[in-house]
Amino acid sequence: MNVEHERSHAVRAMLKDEKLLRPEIAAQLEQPWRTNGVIVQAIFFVLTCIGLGAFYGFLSLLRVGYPGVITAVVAIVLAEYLIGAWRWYRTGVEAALWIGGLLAAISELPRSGTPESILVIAAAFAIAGARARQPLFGAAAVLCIVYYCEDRFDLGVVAALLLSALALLALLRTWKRPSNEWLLIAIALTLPFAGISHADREWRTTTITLYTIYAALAFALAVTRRHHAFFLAGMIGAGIAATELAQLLDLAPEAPLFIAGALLLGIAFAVSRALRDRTRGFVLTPAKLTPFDDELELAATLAMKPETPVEAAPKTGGGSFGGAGASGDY
Amino acid sequence: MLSFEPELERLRPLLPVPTTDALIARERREVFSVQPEVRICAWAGAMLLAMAVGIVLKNNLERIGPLALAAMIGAAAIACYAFVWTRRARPSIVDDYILLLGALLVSADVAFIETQFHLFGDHWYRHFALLAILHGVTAYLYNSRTLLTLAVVAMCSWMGVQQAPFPSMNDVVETSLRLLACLALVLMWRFANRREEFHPVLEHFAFNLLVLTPFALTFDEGLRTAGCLLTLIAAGAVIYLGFRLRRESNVLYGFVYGVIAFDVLLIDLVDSDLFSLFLVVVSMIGAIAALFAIHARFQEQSA
Repeated sequence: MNVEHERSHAVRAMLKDEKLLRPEIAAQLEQPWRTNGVIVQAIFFVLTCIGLGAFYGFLSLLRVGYPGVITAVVAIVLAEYLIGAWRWYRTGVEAALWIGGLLAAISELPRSGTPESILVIAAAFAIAGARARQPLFGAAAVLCIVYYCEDRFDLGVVAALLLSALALLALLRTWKRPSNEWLLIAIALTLPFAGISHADREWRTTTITLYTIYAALAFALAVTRRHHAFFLAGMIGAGIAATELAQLLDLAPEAPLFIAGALLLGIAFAVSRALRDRTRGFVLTPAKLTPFDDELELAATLAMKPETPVEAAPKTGGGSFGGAGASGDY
Repeated sequence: MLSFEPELERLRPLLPVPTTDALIARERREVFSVQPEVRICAWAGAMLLAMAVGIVLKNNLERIGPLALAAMIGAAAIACYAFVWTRRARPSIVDDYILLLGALLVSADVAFIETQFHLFGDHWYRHFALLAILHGVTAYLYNSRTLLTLAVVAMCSWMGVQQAPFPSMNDVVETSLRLLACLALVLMWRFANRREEFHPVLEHFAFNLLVLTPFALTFDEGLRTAGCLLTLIAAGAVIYLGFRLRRESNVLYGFVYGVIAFDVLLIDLVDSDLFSLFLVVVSMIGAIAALFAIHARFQEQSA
């Protein structure tokens, strides 16, 4: 998909969200590719991965030589056929075929056990990401590099934050391809989590300092350059730094939650009051980060609602009681 | 940073002038909405405070005493509801999350009171019904879909259906009957409901319960074939209703349930690993083709 088609696709999606996409406008933004929305892509991706996995298993049970290589050849040829002849792009199928095929091929390689082996997987994600223009594959490739830095040099946190900060700075450039921008956003938002999973307890003060600097950089960019990714990166950095700080301080377990909760609600309240009637600059008009913000929020609320694990009623052996009244075991 | 200003300028003759100007101002970041960030902050704040209250209830029972703890949490919940009620003439985005905090506090408090004072005795699970009523009434008072969701989930818990589906499958028939009872209650609620914006939430629950009721039977070896066939029929009904309601999410999860039931049925009927894998490959190709056709038809219908 060339730059023009990619941009037309993104503008169509934007106007569709705004309920402005009429046939005459759609005709102006014509692009010859068959694409799907995020949820449909995810379903196709999973179905294709299951199919490909079953094909690999089928060849293995048949005791055919090099089942991984055969799976890879079939998957990649099919993916290229779908892209070239059927003009499939971001359907979920071609991305699954590419990454599934490459990972199947890698499964045939001899296992060396060296830290460098992860770079082969990084290369697979990078190649599949570049071909299918799938930002999450690109981010997965960078995650593999962070894992390698941790394994080889014990510098996982530094590598994660450095690459993440570079992604933030790269976002300052005006990108023509939306997929390049989404790749940088995916890197900036996922790598801080990868970094903290490698943080050692004895380096906790350094970790807090690094994440605070990262959050400060992100917030400074957010205020001056106005991009949701900068705000989200700042929130992630600050959240991780605060979590680490809470573990460093010897407080009652509920204290950090109370402080952070009250602080966040207070900030939200203050910002909403300050921006209430504004029509220029920072405003509070309805906006969405994804087409399914509300659904994500509901799902997260149900998944994370606190439990009240207190003892059950006598005699009955009752069960545990749930926070929103939703988790009674019988 | 992306900017679609050139494309919007090109489309200017086809779009209303104020709309084009507003979109271009957004692309230039002259107008930048921080509403998503404020929502995330407020949601995280409410969830953290509710979690903190959960820990307080767990760790301070002996120090503070059950009555004082229950009263404190109850008072905090009432304060949240009252705060939002007083601001309903000019609500802000944060009010939704203060309301959510109030609902989570009520849930924690009711559960805590029941475990400490055993008000319902052997029928302890009835506190879920109380919560369902409380959340249901407040959902209508405050016009909140989040509270409605909590009410439906509490109602399902009252019926003995856990949020995480099928953690233990001791009696699948009983599980299926419990799901059926939930489905009946949700359907009654849906038909009694007169508030248009609550229809999608109730329908979402009803459709999921409609498919999960027969799907529970597939966990029993003796009932697997019947469970799969009934799931396929239910999935077909959900897809049909999804088309009728023009809601693609219903069509999609109806389809996914259908594919799972179909594959479980095939694998169960075929007693060979090799042939099973072959059938999975074929069924996935068929599923992808069918989903493409369904998706395309849905797009045509929506256009």
